[in-house]
Amino acid sequence: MYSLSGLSPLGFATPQSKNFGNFTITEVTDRAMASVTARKGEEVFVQKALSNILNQPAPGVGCHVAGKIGAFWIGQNQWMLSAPFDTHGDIVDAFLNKFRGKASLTEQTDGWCRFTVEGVELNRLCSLLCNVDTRDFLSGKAARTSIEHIGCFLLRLDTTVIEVLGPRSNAESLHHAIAVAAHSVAF
Amino acid sequence: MTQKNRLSGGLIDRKHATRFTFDGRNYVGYKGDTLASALLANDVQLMGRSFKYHRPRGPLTAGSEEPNAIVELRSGARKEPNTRATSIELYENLVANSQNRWPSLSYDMMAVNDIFSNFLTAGFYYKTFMWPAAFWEKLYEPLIRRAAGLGMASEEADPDCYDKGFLHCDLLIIGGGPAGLAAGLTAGRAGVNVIIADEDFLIGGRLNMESTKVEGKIGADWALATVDELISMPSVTIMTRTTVIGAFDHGIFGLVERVADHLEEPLIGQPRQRLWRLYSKFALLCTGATERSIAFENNDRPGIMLAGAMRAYINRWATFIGNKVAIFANNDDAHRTASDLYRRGVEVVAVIDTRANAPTSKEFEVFAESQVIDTQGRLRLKSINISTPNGIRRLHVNALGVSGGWNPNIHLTCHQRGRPQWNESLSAFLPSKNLPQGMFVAGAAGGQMTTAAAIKSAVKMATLITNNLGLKPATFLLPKISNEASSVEAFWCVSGAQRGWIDLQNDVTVKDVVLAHQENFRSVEHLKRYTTLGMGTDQGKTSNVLGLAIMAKIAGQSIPNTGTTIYRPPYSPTAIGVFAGRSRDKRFRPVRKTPSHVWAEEQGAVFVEVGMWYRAQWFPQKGEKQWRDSVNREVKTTRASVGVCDVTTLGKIDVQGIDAAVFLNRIYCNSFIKLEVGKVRYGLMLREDGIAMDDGTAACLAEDHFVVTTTTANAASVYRHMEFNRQVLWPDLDVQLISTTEAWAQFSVAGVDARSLLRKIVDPEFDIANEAFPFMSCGKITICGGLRARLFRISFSGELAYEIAVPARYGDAIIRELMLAGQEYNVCAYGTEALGVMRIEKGHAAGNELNGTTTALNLGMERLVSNQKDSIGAVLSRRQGLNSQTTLKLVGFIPCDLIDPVPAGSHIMTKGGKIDAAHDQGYVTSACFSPTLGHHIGIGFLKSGDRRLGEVVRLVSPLTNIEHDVKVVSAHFVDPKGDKLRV
Repeated sequence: MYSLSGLSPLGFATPQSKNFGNFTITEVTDRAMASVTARKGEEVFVQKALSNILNQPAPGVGCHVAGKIGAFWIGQNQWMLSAPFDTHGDIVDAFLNKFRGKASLTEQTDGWCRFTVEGVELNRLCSLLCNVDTRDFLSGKAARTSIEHIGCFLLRLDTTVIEVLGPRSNAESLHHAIAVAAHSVAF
Repeated sequence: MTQKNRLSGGLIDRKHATRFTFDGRNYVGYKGDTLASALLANDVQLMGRSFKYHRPRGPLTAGSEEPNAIVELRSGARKEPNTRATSIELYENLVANSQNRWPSLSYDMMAVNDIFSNFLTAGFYYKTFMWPAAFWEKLYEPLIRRAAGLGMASEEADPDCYDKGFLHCDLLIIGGGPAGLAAGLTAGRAGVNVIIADEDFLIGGRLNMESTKVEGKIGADWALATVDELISMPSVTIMTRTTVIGAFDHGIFGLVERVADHLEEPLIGQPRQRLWRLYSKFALLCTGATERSIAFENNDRPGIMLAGAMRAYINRWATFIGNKVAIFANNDDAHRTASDLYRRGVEVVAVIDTRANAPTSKEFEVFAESQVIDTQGRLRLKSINISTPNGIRRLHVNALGVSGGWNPNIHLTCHQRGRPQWNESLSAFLPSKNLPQGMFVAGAAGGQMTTAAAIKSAVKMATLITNNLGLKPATFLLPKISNEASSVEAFWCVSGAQRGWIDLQNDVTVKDVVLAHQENFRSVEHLKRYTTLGMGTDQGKTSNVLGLAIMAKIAGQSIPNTGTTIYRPPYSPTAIGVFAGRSRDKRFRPVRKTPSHVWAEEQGAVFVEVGMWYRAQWFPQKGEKQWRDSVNREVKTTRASVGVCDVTTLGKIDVQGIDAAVFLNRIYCNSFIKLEVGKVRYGLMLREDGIAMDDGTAACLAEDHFVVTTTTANAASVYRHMEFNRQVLWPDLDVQLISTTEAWAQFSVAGVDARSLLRKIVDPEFDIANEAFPFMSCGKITICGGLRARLFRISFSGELAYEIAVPARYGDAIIRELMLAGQEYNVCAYGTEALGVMRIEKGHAAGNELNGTTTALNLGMERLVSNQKDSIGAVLSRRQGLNSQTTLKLVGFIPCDLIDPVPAGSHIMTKGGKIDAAHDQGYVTSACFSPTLGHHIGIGFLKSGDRRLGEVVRLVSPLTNIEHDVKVVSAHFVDPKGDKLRV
C-alpha cells in the first residue's frame, strides 16, 4: 500500500468544517466520483444498469439520488456516479464491468471540491449565491449553476442541507463565496 | 433646534428625534423624514446650486426625480456626491453638505456665471473654444472641468461591501402605491407568488402623501392595513427601499435594494446595497406618475416647488416650504394641494389657473385664465407677478406650487426600445403597445390618474395575470374612495418667457430650446445633445416632456411629430459598487490553484496569473538577486540533471467511444487514425478558416480511449470546439467527451536524470527503460507502492522528459516525494519562466506563435496538414493567400553583437532598407536570455524565413529606440535533431 497522503481541496490534511453566520460549511473528501455516459445506441441499457447499481431509477433531468451509492444527472444520457472513496478509490475499475463496455466512464473524484452547507435559511443562501429557483429546489433536486463565475453543481439533500460541487482548483474561491454569502444572509 | 415649519400629524415618528448636520450646521428631524423634509421643517429652503449658472435652488420634488436638492452625503471615504436630499432617509448623525458652490451655498462666487448667461447658452462649448487648437488640452478643458461638474468624489476606496443575488417569482409588482397594493392583494389572495418592490422606505406611494379617503379612512391607513394583510400571505414578499432599475430580456429585472443606506454606516458584514437579478413570468408596472413644471420667467427660485410635492410634504412629513403660498397650474389636481395646505393652516394667497373654466373655491382666491409671468427673490422666493384678465399683479408669497400636469412613469416600458404613445387628453406619453414580454401596466403609469381608477385598473390587470397563471382570481371589492378631480388642459410655457427653466439640473431654459431650433437642432435627439436637456443625474424625469413640448410649440408641429422621448436603464442613479457586488480587490475574480500550490508557497515561489490559475513563475533561492538568477539556475539545473514543474494547468480532455480515433482524426489536421495503444502523438488543431488554433498531444490509453492535452490558455475553448463538432457536425459518431483537467495532478520531470529519478518512485513492475518505454509512449502505472498514476514520455523542454499524473489530492505528496528522491541528482523545481526559456531554446511554438494569425505553414508544420483525409480547417488552409512564396516562416534570431537583446514585439527590416510598415519583414514573437547559450535569443516570423537562414537583418523597435543587427538562424537553438529526447 502506498504511503502518500492526500490533501483536501482547500489544502489541508483533513477536511475542514466551520461555521459561517448560521451555516456550517464542511469539506467532503470521502466520496469517489466518475462520470457515466451512454455510448451511442446504448442509452436504455446504461440507464437500466445505473438503476441496478442505485437500486432505484436513475435520476432524471435536474435530479439526484443520494445514498451510499449516489448519482446525479449532468447531461443527456450522462450522470455523475458517486461512492465511498474508501471502498471505491478506483471507481472506474469498480463499476466498469457493470456497464459491459456500453458506457464511457471517466474518473472525476479529484476533479471536484465538494462542500455540504447546512443551515435553516438555505433558500435565502442559495438566492445570494446562484440563479437557482429555490421555490422548486426541493430535496432530491440537482442543479447546474454558476457561483461567482465558477461552474457548479448543487444537490439538495434536505430542507436544511445542500451539497455544492465545484472545480477542485477553485475550492478556496468557492468556499469564500459561500462563506461571504452565509454571513450576508442575516441582512 | 425648533423645526419652526413642522406641523402636527404626518407619518413621522416623533418619539425618535434625529440629529443631523447640513453644511456644518446642526439640525434635528424625526425618524421617517427625508433630508429634504427635515431641512424644510427647519426652514431651510436653499439646498443646492444649479450646474451651469450656479443659481440658488431649493427642492422641486419629494422623490427620486429631484433635479435641484442634490448634496454630498456622508464624509471621508463614504462621501457620496449627487445624492438627492428628497429621497435620503434621515438617520442619526447624518452628515450632508451642499455642492458645486464656493465658498458657501449662500455666497457662491461662481454665480457670476449667471451674469454672463448670454455667453453661456446652449452649444457655447462648441462655439467658444475653437482656437488656438493647442489651448484645448492645456487650458480650456482643465478650466471647464474645474468649473463644471457637481459634487466631488472622495477619491478613496469604497469601504463598504456590496452584495448580489437572484430572485424568482410569478408576478413582480413594481411600485407599492394604491395600484401596486391593490394588485398585490388581488394576486396574493389567489396564491400567486408575488414580489412587490418599492423604492421608498415607506410603502404606500401617493396614498401616504394625500388626504384622499379610502374606505372612509386616510389613504395611508388603508395602505398600512393592506400591507399588514400582504405580509401575512406566504406567497407575497414586500421589498421596500428597492428600486427596479431595469427591465431586461426574458422577464429579467434588475433591482437595487438599499440594505444599509438608512444607517450611519453598515453593521459589520452587512452589505450597503444588494443587486438582485429577478426572474418573473409577469410584471405589473405600478410606478405612478411624476408631476411636471411650467416654464415661466425665473421659475427656479428656492421656494418654487411642484404642487404635488408641496402636498406630499404637508401630508406625509407635516412640513411646508413657505407659509404664504400661491399655486400655478393648468389642472384640477393642483387645487387639491391648495385645499390641503389651507386645511393645515398655511395661508394660500391664490391659485393661478391657466384655464378659463378653472374651478372656484371658498377657501382661497382663484385667478382663472391667468399666468405667473415672473418671480422675485434671490435666496428664497419673495413675490410673483401674475397676469390676469384684469391686468398684471404682484403677489407677495414665499412659496409657489407649480403643476403642468403629470407624466406617467413609463421608463421601464422603454428599456427594450418600446416607444411611448402620446395621449392628447392627458397631455402625456403613455406606455408603448409593445411592452416587454410579460409586462402589464396599471394605475397612473397607465394613465389612470385618480386613486379609484388606478386601483380599478390594477385589480383588472392582476386578475388577468392570475388567470394566465392558471389560478382562480379572488373576489376583490373595490374600496370606496373620495372624489378626485383630475382634469388637465395642456399648458407648457408662458408666452415671452426666456429664462424659464425646463431642466433645472442642467440649466436648460426656453431660450436654449429656441436657440437649438434656430440652429436646426430640432429632433428630440439633437435637442437633447445640443442643450444637455435631460442629461443630469435625474435623467430629465421632470423636464424631458416639457422640453419636447416647447420645441414642438416653437416648430409649430405636434408633440408626436417632434419626437418621442424614451429611457434607458438604470431608472435612477446606481452606485457602481453594487454592480461589482462581492467581486472586488483580490476577490475580483475566482482563482485556481494547482495541486502543488501549498508546497510552492512554502518554497517562496513567485506566482503569475495565467487566466484564473496561479502558477509558480520561479523559485527564488538565497543569494539570487533578481528573477533571472533564479530562472537561469532552474534552466541550467534541469538541462544538467533534472527539474520538476507542475503542468496540471494544461487542459486534459477525456475522449472515449468507438469512434474516438475517427473523431480526433477530424479534429486534428494530422493523422490519428493509426495511433497505437500506449503511444502519444503531437497534434495541431486548425480553426475552420485554416488558422492554427491550438496544439497539444493525444495519448491513446485504449483503442476507444484517448486523453487530449491542450494549452492552458485554450483548455476551455478547445473543449467547447470539440463539443460543438461532436454535437453539431458529427452527431453520428460514437464519442464521449469530458474534462479531466482538475482530476489529475501532472508534473513534468525533465533532464538527463529524469528517468533515474522516476525509477525511484515508479513501482518496479513497470519498466520505463528507453527500449520498453521510448519517446512518445504512455501508460497506466503505479508509484510509491501502489498509487495509480499515468506516465507520458513527452517533452516540452527538449530534454529527456516525462509527465507523470496522479489523482489531484496526491499532487502535494508527489512533488514532495520527487524533490526528496531527487536530492541525489540535485533536482530543482522550475516555474513557468524557465519552462518558457527552455521551449524557446528548443524552438517550440506556444501562445505567442499560435496567436490567431498564423498557419501551419507559418509554423513550419505544413507537412502535418494531411492531404490524405479531411479535417477541420484543412481545406481553407490551402487558400492561395495563405500559401505565397514570401509567407512568414518561424525562425530564430541571435544578436550579431551578443550583448544586444532581442525583445519580443520587435520588427525585422532588411539591412540597409527603409524602416516602415511597408518594408516590414516580420516580427519577434518570443524572446529570452538563454542561459544555455549565454546570450539573448528570439524566435519569430520572417518572410521566406526558411530560405534566409544566415542572413543578417535589422531588428527595430522604434518605441523603445532599439535598432541593431540580428542573424537569422534555425528556431531550434538546442538539440535541433532531438537526440536528447530519445535517449
